[in-house]
Amino acid sequence: MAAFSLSKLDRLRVMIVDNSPMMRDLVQGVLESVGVKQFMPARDGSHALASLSAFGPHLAFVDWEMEPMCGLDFVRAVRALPERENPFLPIIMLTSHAEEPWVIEARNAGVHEYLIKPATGAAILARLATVINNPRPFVRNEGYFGPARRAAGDPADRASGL
Amino acid sequence: MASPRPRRHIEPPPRAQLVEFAGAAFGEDEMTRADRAVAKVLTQYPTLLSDEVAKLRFAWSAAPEALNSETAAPIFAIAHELAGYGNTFGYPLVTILARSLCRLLTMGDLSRGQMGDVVDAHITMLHIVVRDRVQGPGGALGLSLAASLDQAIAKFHLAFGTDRQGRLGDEVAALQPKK
Repeated sequence: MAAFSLSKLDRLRVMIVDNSPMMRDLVQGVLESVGVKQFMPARDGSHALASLSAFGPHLAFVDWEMEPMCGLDFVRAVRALPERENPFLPIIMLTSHAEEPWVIEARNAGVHEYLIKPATGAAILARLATVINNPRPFVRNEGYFGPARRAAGDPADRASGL
Repeated sequence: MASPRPRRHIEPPPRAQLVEFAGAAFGEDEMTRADRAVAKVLTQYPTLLSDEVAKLRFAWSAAPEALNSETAAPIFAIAHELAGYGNTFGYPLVTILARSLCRLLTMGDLSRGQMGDVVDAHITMLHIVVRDRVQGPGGALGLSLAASLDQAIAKFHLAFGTDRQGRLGDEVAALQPKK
């Protein structure tokens, strides 16, 4: 298999949804350092939703606590989109909420990965690699549409806890 | 032979599976560049922590007597942001103190009168840590600040018959370098 060329990442389109300008700059700075060039920053979920169609992101880093639309509501809104509008968008939740109930709630809303702030550059890149290299099928059942749960023992589990 | 996916699984379209980026791998060089990028961003926000602590103090001073999830929300939001910023800027004590404050603010319907002392104590400690640039575990000062705040928290829980979860002293001690 040919070695991966980081130059491919200049085609990756990333949405960064966080009410903190510093956190938006931090995530963007980390991703720029490995060649990502296309970003859409958004200050809250409603701003992100409004930009989704025009920007067409490949994936999104999303904070939780934002107003008027929090990250969790953004995730639910994305998962409720019609198929032509990409309800399958890979979403990495990046939040200060560290306790298990929050992680479970995010999982049940349909996030792909969960990363607890403060996030290091290494942790952000690790989640990016996981999302890219471990695509997950989706499931739809009563009350849930989102990534299928990983099988027990999946190495990617160690990274995200989901 | 791999087991077929259960029928209820839905395969996302290739674009959503990020197929064209498959194989992305980040080695030591990339991690170093990422760390440098983080450090560079932090230098662009030199007063962020002190600004947030000042906002927290103001939000608390403006809070009404009756505290519930709605009226405490502005204070919680700032404390929550501080918890996220602390370690990023090399101030793990800020993260520990801010998370402790967040836990208190989500305890339910209380009043300023009931929470005043313990919230003031948190804000004072946060101010000291940031003002005096107590980075990292903080050594003896960090332990002393945690112990003092633990006393305030214990007094609060004793007064209202509530249970406390963990001690800040233990969290701060865990940060200290192992001898």
